[in-house]
Amino acid sequence: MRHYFSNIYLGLYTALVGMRITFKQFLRPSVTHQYPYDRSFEQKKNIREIPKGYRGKLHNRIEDCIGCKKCELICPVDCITITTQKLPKGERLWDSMNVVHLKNRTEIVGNIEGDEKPASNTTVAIQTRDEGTVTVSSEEIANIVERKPVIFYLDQFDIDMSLCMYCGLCTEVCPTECLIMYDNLSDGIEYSTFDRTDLIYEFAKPEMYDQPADESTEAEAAD
Amino acid sequence: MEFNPQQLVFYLFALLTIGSAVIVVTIKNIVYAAFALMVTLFSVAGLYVFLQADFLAATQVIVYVGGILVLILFGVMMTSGSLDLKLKLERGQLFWGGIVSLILFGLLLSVITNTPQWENVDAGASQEPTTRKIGEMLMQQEYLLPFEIASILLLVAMIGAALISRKEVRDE
Amino acid sequence: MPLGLQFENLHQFFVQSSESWAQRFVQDHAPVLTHLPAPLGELVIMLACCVIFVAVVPLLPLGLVLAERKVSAHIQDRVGPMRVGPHGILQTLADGVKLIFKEDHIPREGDKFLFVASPYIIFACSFAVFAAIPFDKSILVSELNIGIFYIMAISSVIVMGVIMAGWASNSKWSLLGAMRSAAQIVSYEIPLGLCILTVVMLVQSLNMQDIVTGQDGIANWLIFRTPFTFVAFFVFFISAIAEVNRTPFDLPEAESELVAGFHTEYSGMRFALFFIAEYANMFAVSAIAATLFLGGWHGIVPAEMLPQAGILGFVLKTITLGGLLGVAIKTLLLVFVMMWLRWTLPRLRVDQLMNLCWKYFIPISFFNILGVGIWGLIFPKDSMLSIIISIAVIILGLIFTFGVLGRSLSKGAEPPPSSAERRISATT
Repeated sequence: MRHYFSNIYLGLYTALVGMRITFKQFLRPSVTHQYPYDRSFEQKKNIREIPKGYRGKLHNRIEDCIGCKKCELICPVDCITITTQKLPKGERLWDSMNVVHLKNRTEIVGNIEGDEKPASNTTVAIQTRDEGTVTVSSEEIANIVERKPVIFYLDQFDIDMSLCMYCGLCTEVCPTECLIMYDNLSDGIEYSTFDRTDLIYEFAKPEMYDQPADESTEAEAAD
Repeated sequence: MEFNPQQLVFYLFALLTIGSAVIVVTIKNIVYAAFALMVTLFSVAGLYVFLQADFLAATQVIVYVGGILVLILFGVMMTSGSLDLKLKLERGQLFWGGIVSLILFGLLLSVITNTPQWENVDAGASQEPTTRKIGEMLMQQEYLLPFEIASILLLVAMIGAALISRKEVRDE
Repeated sequence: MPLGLQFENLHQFFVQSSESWAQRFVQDHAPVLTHLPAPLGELVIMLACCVIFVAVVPLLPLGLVLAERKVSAHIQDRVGPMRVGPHGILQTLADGVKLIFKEDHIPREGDKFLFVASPYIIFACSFAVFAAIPFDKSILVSELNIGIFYIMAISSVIVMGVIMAGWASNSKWSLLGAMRSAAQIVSYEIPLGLCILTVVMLVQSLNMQDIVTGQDGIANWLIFRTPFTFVAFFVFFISAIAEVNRTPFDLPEAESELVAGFHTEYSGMRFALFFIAEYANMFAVSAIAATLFLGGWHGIVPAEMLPQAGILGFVLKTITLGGLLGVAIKTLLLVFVMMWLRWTLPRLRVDQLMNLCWKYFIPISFFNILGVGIWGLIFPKDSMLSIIISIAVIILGLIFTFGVLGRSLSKGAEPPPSSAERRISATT
């Protein structure tokens, strides 16, 4: 008999306790962020950077690319497609040069005097091709890459990001470090689209060569 | 006869009652028979409405459709093999069944024809709840004893059912 | 007329008095119809009642589904649908459109005829309930003498549709769900009916309008009329939750066990019909609870203390929970409690469900009936004294239960072993 009334009482009481808890939760503001529309949480939670080494969207600085096709070869899922035209024997598009990537995401192409990695807190003079000598502080320099002599025209450099498995092998084999994976908030993530074909990125810029490729010199790249 | 929509509804219900009743006795599939029985019981409730017996109509639905028919379906579905059962009529069954139903039909017909005078329900009567009359008949007047006996019968049946279905628990 | 059948007065059964709201609506807005020959005109008015209700009632689920999703989301600290329309208010509409265009799939091995028929039975029955629920003095499709009994009868037919759906799907989930649902609805109809009986004993009428008429002012609400109806309200409400298969009594459609219960195999519009019927049911039982116990269209303040005419009268009536909107507010509050409970309590086991019904609710309900009978003998007429005594008993009872008695009761709490445990202990 005592069990009977205890059960009734506890059934009621525990249900009421549970209802009190859920009602409190009901009144509490929800924790959901309406992410693509409301990005205020990025400031609130101090989310500015994603960690270094994050493998994000692939990008090719096509100006530095020498068309060596190493990335195409190593890609496990064959998401990179490159077509090149070989220049006539002995010709080259440009000679070996240094590419200085600055921290403000611009780059200077030219020869560094001394061809060495500069020590800290010094100024570096760069002999550019078009703008004469430019001096920058070594603090501003993010990276210095050597641009090998180019003997190919790049007709096509397509990366299909819908196939990419983000292994990062292509960035590691790239001799000029022109193929990179973005690891910042604005470029590296959030590139979803409504159409899958929009995920095929075409980096080749045939218009960047001064002279169009000569018909007679057209040849497949050496395999 | 003048066209009357209520008449139309009545004949619809009558047709439903008889038609579904025919289905109940002729169809081979036992579940179909049960669902046809639902239509029959429901349309009988509709006929009660035409007799101004509102309480009876609702009781018909709540007891037969909501209670007994559900139990029938439970029995059918929980009994293994009964779903594949084909209801078949033997010759002899048809003969005796026909005779019994003819006798019943004759009985009903004689009651209908021998009733001296059908009481017409007048317009004002529908406003008065039939429940009051039923309640008085059951609790105060001639039907008190049958009512109580029926309830005791049901109680006994319920206790019996509980006793039979109870799993035996051994005491330690 | 053969066999003494009377057809002339049938309309009085369905659309009983000339005061009927639908009849006046037709007269005001479509006077052409009144020039029709008398029987035809009545038929048109009957149809008009049906059409208005069938057109309006599906809008309720439209809102309730969204409300359910929003309530559940906020209880779980989420925000719920946000994309379709401002704060997602058109989400249900979008879902409905999606369901209309979906493939209407009928299981190959199932029973096609019954499979197609069952959603309509459930849909029709859950809508027919609305015919007898009064929403205002004159807003009532049919003032039946047996109003509340009619509602009980019609809602008991829903079981047939459920069993039909479960059997016709030819799927074990569906059949099990239907079986559970039928067992549950049939069981919980008993405490439900007994709780209604306590009200009917006090009012001495089955007519819904008669039940509402006496409840003018909060003190006259039937929930406070006697201490027994106060208990009966809670038993009624919990049984009603079980009756419409909602959590914590949602065994018939337990997702983790039965996929979706009896409507597992349904898709497209037929599924939508089940869905609409479920939410219409939910609204209906809440409206019935509000009508029976919480004053129906009578507000907190007695009607004669408020101005009746004009917009001011309407606003005051609504604020004091009277009139059409007042009923709606009360009903929606009860619906909210249902949703609130859904996201609070876990699902019961089958034996717990049956224990609750047969061992707790039915004895309590019988006790209530006995109590109301005795109360009626002591106070043959409701007076100020009886109401004051009743409210005092309710308050003292609550304080006593949760203050004094609770401490000792919660200590003596050791739930009796469940049948499964008992069987284990019996075998070992």
